[in-house]
Amino acid sequence: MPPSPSADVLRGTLDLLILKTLSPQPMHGWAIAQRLEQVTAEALQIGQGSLYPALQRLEEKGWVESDWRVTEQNRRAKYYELTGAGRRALGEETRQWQRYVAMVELVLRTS
Amino acid sequence: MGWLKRWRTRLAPVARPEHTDAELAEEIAFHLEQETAKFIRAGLAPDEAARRARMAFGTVDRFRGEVHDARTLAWLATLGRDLRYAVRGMGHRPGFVLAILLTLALSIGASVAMFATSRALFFQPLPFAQAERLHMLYETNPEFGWTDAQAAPANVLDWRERVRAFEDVGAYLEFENRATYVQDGEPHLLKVAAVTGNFFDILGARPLLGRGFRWEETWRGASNVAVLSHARWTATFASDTAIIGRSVRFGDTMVEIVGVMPRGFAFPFGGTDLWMPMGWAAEDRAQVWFRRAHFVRPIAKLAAGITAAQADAAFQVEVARLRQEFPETNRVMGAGMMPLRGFLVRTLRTPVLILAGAVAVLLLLACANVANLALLRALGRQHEIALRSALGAGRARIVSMLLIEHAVLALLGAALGVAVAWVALRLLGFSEFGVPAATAVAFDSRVGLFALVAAVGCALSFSAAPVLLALRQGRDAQLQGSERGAAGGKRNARLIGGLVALEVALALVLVVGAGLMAKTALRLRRVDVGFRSEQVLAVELTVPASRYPALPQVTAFYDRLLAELEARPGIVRAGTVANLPLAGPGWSSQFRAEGWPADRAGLNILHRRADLGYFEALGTPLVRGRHLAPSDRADAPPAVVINETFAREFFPDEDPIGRRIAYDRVATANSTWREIVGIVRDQAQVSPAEPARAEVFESRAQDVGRNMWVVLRTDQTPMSVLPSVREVLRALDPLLPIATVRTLDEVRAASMARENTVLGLLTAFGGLAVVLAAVGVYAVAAQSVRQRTREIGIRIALGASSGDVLRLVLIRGVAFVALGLAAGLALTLVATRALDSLLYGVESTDTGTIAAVAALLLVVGVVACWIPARWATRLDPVRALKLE
Repeated sequence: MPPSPSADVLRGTLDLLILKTLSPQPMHGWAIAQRLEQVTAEALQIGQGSLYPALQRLEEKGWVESDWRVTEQNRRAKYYELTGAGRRALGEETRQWQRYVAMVELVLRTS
Repeated sequence: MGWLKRWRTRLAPVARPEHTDAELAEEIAFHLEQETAKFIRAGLAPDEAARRARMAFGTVDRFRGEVHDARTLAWLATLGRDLRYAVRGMGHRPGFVLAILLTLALSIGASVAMFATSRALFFQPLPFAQAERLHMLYETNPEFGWTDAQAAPANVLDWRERVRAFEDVGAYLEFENRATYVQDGEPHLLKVAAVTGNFFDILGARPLLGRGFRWEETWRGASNVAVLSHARWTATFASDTAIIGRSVRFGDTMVEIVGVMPRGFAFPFGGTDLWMPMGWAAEDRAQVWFRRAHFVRPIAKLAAGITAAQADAAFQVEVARLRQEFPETNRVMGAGMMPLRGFLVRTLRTPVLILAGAVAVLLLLACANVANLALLRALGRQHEIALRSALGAGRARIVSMLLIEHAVLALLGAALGVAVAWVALRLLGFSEFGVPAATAVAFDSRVGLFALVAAVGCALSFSAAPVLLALRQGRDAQLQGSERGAAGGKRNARLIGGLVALEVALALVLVVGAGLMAKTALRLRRVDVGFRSEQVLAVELTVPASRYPALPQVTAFYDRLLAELEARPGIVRAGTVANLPLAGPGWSSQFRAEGWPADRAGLNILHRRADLGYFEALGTPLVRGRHLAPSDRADAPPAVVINETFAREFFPDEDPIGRRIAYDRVATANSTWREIVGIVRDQAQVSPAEPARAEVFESRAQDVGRNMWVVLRTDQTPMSVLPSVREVLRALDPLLPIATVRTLDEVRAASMARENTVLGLLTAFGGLAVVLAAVGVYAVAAQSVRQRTREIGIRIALGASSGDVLRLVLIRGVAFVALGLAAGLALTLVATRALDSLLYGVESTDTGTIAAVAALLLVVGVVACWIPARWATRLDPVRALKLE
């Protein structure tokens, strides 16, 4: 598999998507993956595996917290939850993203 | 704030790697379970569902790889895991690991031993104060062909007083004296070094107890003093500190012990028990012989701030002056100086350099061999590596995994190698080389460091090929699994073949070297040395002047001793001689023959006292005239026997028998004239390789000699008559100790020690080289069979005979061997030139040896190919075709 040239962009985007997904409620990794797939109608081609490094990155930045809970099927799973800093970051990242999109949009339209 | 967070993130996994890994594993397991369940619900079979789940996930290992790559410091944790993996992996392949460890242990061991030895000889500081200021002085004489001769004491004393650039000049006798010490009625023989009074001061050697000598003590008349070695003080005087100041009887004289040297001080000889002053008479200084006889080794300490060149210039001025002042003795006498260490090791440089070169070749060969084995193993692990790289293990990870594995192997090999070196040096000690006692071989941190560097160097060099291979695979073999690309296979085969050719080439060099030395040793053994050494025992005795004051007593003692010895069973013939043949020349002088013109003189003839029994015990035939006879006694005219070289050199066209000679350049009224009564066959004096020099034998009954070797021809193992010798001696003189006991076979072997040591080591290296090369060839042939199983299967299926298949495999393997031999031949012609100075009776380009060795290696190569080729002929074509 050739390495994606936009890996960094994708990585940043993925962080934002995860934060957004987690904002209503705590979720475990698989649930996040399912939710992202549903929302993007499977258009976003990311390996589910890359979710976990991203989660770890976010946890190490202090934006999410994790703890082990029991699922409805009585199975141990690791749940992730936004922290206060995470919420602030989501707001900030969202604004940045929108500015970025708007800017790209502008460029695309004018040229 | 970014950097702080980054560092915390990087450090975290190091702090708790196990925890993180375990949690991750569980999290991923949960994820895959959920995903699988989802696919099952969608109606897939459980197997397929699990596969799809894994596909959707990407891969577990790739995911892990990303996590680890993200945290650079995590390499510590990774290293631990790779080490465990490497060690565990070794347990699964004991044969492979053993082969590599053995190869490395032997080759690194040899290098470490050579390193330790070379360092001790050439680099480690001598254990003397300001050793860089110490220079050996020597005399030269173009007429006699002297290049670094011992000096005449009168000259040394003049140098000491006149050359300002020398702070001091001292001297020692190169010949070890003997002194008898009687303890509880048992005579012990001590080895004595005779030195000038300033000897210890010049070396800056302080005694452990008491004092050293004073300059005045060089001369007779001052009290008799001696300094004990630490070993003798411990062994014989029970480390008694009250020994200082006590008078002890050594032989005939009472000697006051004034000092004890510290442990480890061993100069100029290894086993010296006692240092005593020269004891020259003050009036000797004015005697002509004191300037004519060259028998001391002078050491100068340069004055502070003077360079060697300045000192030498000042020295030469005085040497020239002495030449004019004393034309009778110094007419053509020159002198020179050399740093003390350089002097001590001057004869060792060539053999040690040769062996160091051989060891380097061996190490290179070992690396090539290990690289070869590692490469083959890497090929065997192709699938594993391809899988790992497909699972996303980065190139760095795969390379570091290989390197770690090899580093572990190399370090283990080096550790074993140090042990091998330690044992080898204990066993060999290079003592046969006559390594100077002052340069003890030390095993210290530097040697350890060398072993470490060698290990790392080896690991890197034999990792290069497998790493290249792994990188290439990482690039172009993505789980194509068993489908080995034809191009890649060919490249690998070429790489392995190249390594094999290199191994064969290096092996050729080493084995040809060993072969040339073997031929030399064989030639030396076959040289007619002028006597038969087998079954001859030699016993060294020194009769003291106190009980044997003059010639009649000495003669009577030896006459009785020999008669009683010959009466003993097992002893066929007994005789005496002042120096054994092949043990170095005795004293030398000039001479003139009666009737020669005044300006004619014979130079540099050797002397030995002997008797009829000596020649008969050794079986040295008389050529003409008569042997020395029992009748050549003090009351008869002096008679001498000369060797053939003497006759040829000085009496080429006349009959020497009946001519009279005197040991003076210019005869005076005091000259003693001796009649030549016979000519005997030449006896080699130094080594079988050196032609005999002109030599004259005097009768022991006409010249007093207190130090003699009793030689005994036996009709059994020579050592078995030793008890008889001791009995006879005890009966004749219970206080007379035996100084040395040697068989003449030993003496003969010792005269070829240098050649034999080099031969022994080169043979060992060569043998190892052949084994390594054979393993290499075998491995490459086996690999080629494995790789071409399918092709061979097809050929067999199409009707190829087993002969065809054999040929197919053999030709490839043998082609690499032949390539190696061709390259090795060129290398050999250059490399063996280094051996030139050690060879005897054989050229370094000896066609016979080179051809024989090349043939041997070719045979070894063919056999090594033949074994895997046999497998190929037994292939079942059906299975072979299915296999791939």
